[in-house]
Amino acid sequence: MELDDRTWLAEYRKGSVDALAMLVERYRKPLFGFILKMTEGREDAEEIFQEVWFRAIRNMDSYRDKSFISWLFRIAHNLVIDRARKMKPVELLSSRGEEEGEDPIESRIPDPARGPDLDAAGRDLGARILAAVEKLPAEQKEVFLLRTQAELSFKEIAKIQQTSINTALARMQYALDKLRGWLHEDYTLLKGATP
Amino acid sequence: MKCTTYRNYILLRHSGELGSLRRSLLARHLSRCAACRAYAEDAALVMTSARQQVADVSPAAIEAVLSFARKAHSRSEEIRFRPSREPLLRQWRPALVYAGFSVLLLIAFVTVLSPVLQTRRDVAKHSGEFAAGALAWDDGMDDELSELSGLMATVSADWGNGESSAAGSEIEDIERLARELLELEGVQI
Ligand SMILES: [Zn+2]
Repeated sequence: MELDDRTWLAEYRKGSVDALAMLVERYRKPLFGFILKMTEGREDAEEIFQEVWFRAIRNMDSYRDKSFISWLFRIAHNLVIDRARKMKPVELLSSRGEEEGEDPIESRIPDPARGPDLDAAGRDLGARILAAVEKLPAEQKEVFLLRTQAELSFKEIAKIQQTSINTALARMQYALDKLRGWLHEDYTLLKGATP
Repeated sequence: MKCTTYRNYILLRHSGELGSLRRSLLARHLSRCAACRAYAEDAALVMTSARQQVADVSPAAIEAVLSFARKAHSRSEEIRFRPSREPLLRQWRPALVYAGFSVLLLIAFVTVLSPVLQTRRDVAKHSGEFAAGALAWDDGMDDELSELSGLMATVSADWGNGESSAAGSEIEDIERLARELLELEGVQI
């Protein structure tokens, strides 16, 4: 996978826009899926998606990272943070206390199992999970999405969030604990259905 | 170790970041801890299900990205083309620098050295006068000085003989000679 990225990048540097098209195609879904969940709506997400690639293209010559996808998501992470700062400066990455056991945002999150978001999402577990993910605090949501949508390693996620691997793992554990709690009935049903 | 640590191991195993030693420690723990077994099952289910639900971006956004790439590429083509002209300038740059430096040096040379040359010319022009002056000194001064010393000797003798009136007119002669000598020196200086 990584070798392929390098090949396409080398081709693009030689002048092949088709090579870049291959890279855009490869990462369009995980990148857009991540951005969409981290932003307010589709319009915002499409704008950021394009800006990520514009920045990547502009800085292609200075790209020296081992992992292209990691670099791409770091650009996305920075743009999402910038956008969030402009939108709601007070709530930005406010999950500081949560890793210490406090949960200041928890009380404000409606029960997704009974909320309108999940009703709209239907009974499909994947859709229900992603609808519930939107209720997670920003940093936990980001770790969850980087892990599940972009399939980045915790080492790469920690690098993007400029934190330790242990913190990234703790954020993932909090996210999973909440999702497990919210989706408990679905699990039970699903597990009961599978032998 | 706490279950939290083993749950980190579960996550790391899922992302392929767990070494073999910790992998075997985890396996041993899972064989004894039902809560962590349930956690491992749920975590795998959530992560796998979430992965399958991926939204897609519009074709217009993709086209905008590729169009930007094409423009960026054509710009870089221009940049790549330009160096074919740039090396020529780069080749000539040292020569131009040397040429410019030489011109400056020439201007500096002319500006700084022309007064010196002028002075030398003046010196050469006046050197004839100096030589003439020196000759005048040689020819005239020696005579006048000898005349002066002669007069001084006479005056001294007269003072000794008490002939003050004769000495007065001779003193006038001495003063006149002295003035002439000073005037002559003044011209030379
Ligand atoms: Zn345990």
